[in-house]
Amino acid sequence: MIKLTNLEKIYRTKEIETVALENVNLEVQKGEFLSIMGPSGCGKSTLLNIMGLLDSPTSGMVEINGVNTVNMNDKELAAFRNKQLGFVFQSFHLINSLNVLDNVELPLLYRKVSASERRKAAEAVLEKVGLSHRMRHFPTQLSGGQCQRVAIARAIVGNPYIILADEPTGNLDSKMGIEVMELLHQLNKEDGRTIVMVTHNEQQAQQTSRTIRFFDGRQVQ
Amino acid sequence: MIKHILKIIWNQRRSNGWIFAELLIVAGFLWVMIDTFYVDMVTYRSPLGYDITNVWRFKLTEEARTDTLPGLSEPEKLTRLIEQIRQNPEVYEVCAAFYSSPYSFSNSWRNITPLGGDTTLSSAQSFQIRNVTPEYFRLFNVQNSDGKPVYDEVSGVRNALVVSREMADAFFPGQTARGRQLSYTDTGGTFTIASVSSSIRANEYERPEPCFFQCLNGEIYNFMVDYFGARDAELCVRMKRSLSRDDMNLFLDSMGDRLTADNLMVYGITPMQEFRDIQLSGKERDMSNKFSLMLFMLINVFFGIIGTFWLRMQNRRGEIGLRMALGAHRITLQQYMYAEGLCLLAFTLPLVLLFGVNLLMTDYIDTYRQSLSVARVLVTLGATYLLMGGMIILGIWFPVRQAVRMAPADALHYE
Repeated sequence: MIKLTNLEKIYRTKEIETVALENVNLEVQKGEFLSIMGPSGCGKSTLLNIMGLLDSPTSGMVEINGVNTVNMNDKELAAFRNKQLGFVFQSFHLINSLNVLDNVELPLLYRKVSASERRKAAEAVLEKVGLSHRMRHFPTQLSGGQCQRVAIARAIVGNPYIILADEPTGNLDSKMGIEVMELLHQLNKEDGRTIVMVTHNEQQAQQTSRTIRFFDGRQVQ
Repeated sequence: MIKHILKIIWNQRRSNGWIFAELLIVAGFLWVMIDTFYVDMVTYRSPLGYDITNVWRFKLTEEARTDTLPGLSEPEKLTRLIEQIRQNPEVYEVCAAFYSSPYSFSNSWRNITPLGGDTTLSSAQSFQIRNVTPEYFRLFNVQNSDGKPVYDEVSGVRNALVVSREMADAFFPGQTARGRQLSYTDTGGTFTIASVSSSIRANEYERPEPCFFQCLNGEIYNFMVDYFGARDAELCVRMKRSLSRDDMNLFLDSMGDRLTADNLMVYGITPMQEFRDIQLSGKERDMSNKFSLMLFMLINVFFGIIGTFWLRMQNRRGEIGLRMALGAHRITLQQYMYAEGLCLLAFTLPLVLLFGVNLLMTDYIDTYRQSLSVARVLVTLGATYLLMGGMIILGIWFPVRQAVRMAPADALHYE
């Protein structure tokens, strides 16, 4: 499903060179729930960003669904992200000036999908995450857990194969964290979606099908 | 997409309200400024009704007589001097006028009454009068409403008047003015309208006003020259080619005593263009100050609008990153941001139109020099919104371009 080969990411400034990822080789199978762990600054989020085509590697290859993404142009990358990948961020990244329904519809706005179809799809996924009663609310009127569920709804509205979650429970209390994790497990088991999650929480990592660990930009386990 | 933009604008109405207010004030202000500029420019570039190319003004004086012999009469002296100058092969035409040559700012009025014909719509009225010899029309190339030389119509006609198009319209509305007879209300006499000239403007900054020319020939010529005095005549000479002041001095030297008729003589010359520049220097200074102020205001508007939209976009880099992460292409995003800014601008249009109607009703807009027309509104309003739209796009372009050039992961950090 996802194949990373000899991946390297180096941040260069005039004075220093920082190696964020070094010789990463990783394969994620279809339907797998992979968790990535490691101390802060070890390159977990960088890896997730590269997997999600939000950032480009300095060298190496990123293959998703058998497609080598390294030589794709901006337009192709945007379309690929839109159709094949769903993102869940630690700080939700919802647009505060749009209500829940409009936030969820956002990925479909960049496809040729009619307004009524967008509405129908957004309502369906909000129903799935248990927020159909909050559709007209704005993000500022919701709790952190609800915001993250909106973000998950937005991630799955376009029906992507892969969901990339960067510390999805990092900003939530334990109860809400459990709710969000249950939702992710449900998406993995019931819908068969592949999920790659960055987390600091050992307990959450143990619930996933595989855990890999990073240290100083290298995969250590 | 438009629905999405409108939704975002509405949901951000608190912050957008201030931007809307700024755009509204600036659009109204800019429109008035551009409209003023338009009126000044269109007025300036409209035809004057005469041509001063290669025309020189000759200044006359009279020498004190040292003998007791009877000399020539005033009209005879002037006529002789004009003929002597005209005979030079370098000269195209010579004419005399009394406080009536272009840019002389004369302001003489006569009350006239229509005689004969259908006078149901015409009654005695005062109009500005200009006293000129018939050659004036040839020299300044004055044309009638059909574009034909006025001189051909007045040449040889006694007691001829030439009325401007505006006067013909005002005095004989819907009728043919040419051939009609008029009389001065105070002194009487019968005059014939020999020609209707095209619009005549006093200078480049004024609109054409109704006026008429009294052609000085025969008894009227004698009477007027006696009345004003030959030395007060504005002698205008049109040369066949463009001459420098040095060339003209050589020409005067070659003329010798032909620049003298009895005790009347030429004592100085001024190019008509230079005379015009001197006469209009005050107006031109005023215009220059006005345009400088406009430019200063425009620069302020430019930086104000660009700054507003620049900051607005800088604050939305995180949102741009998110949209890219969700699958928006950078060009789509740029277009989306432009459309949002331009939509905000478009919303000001109805209120700016209302503002314009108010200005019109309070006579603040100049409809004296240029009448209000659909073309004028379209041109000035179009220029206003094009300028502002350009500024908005420029204000959005740079920060958005910077944001969309980043990797989405980097842009997301700005939230």
